[in-house]
Amino acid sequence: MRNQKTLRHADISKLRNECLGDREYLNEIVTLLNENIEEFYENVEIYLKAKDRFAISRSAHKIKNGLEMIQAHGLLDYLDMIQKECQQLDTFQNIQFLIDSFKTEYRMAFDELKQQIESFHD
Amino acid sequence: MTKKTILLIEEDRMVSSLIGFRLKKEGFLVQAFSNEKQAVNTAAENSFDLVVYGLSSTSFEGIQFIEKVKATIGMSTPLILATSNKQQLITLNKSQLPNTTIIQKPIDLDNLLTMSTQMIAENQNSNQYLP
Repeated sequence: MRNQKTLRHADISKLRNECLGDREYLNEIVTLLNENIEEFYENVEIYLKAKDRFAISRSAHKIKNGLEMIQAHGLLDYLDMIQKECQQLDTFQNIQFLIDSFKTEYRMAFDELKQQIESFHD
Repeated sequence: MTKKTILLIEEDRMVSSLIGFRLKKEGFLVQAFSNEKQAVNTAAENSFDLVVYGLSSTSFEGIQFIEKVKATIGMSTPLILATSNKQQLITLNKSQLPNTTIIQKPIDLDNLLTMSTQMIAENQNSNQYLP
C-alpha cells in the first residue's frame, strides 16, 4: 500500500501548483482528468465483456499519471490491485469488484476535489 | 527574438495539456499531438527546436520507431523521451540516441522546463560552430 500522507481521497494542491494558480486552467485540467476516468470506465466495460485482462491492465496504467497529480493514493492502490488481478487467470469477478470499488472511491475523490477548488476560488 | 518551437507528442490529454501550458508560459511555441504518426508527418514538413515525446506504455513500437522519429526530426534536433515503463527505460538507455535525454514519468514539470531550455541553448551553440 502507498504511504498515505493525508486522510483525503484527493488533494488539489500539487495540481494547483502545476497550474501556477490559474483558476480557469485548473478547472479545465480537472475536466480533462474526469474525461480520462470516464473513458477508462467505458473501455474497461468493453474489455471485461471481451475478457481481455491485458487491455484492462493497460487502461488502468494509463490513468495513473492523472491520479498522481491529485494525490489520490486510495485510487492508485485500487489500480495497483486491478493490475495485479489482471496477471492472474479467471479473476474477472474480482476485477469487476475492484472496478466498482474504484468508482465509489472516485466519486468521493471527485466531490472532494470540487470542494477544494471551490474553497480555493473563495 | 523569435520564439522557440517545441513538438509535443503525448497521448494523455491531461498530461499533454499541462506540459503545453507550462511550456507556453515559459515562452515556447508548442505544437501538440496525441497521435505519434501524425506528429511524425508534421515533423517531416516543419522544423522544431525540440521534441518532447511521452512514450505510450501501451503501444510502444520499439526503438526502430524512435530512430525513425529521430531521423525525421533531424539527428541534431534535441529530443526528450519520457516513459513510465521500466523495460522501455532499459531499452532506451542502451540505445544511445544522439541529442536525446530520457526521463521517467510522471514528468517533473519544473525539471522538464529547465531541461528544455538547456537542450535548446546547447544545440543552438553547437550549431553556431558548424561549417
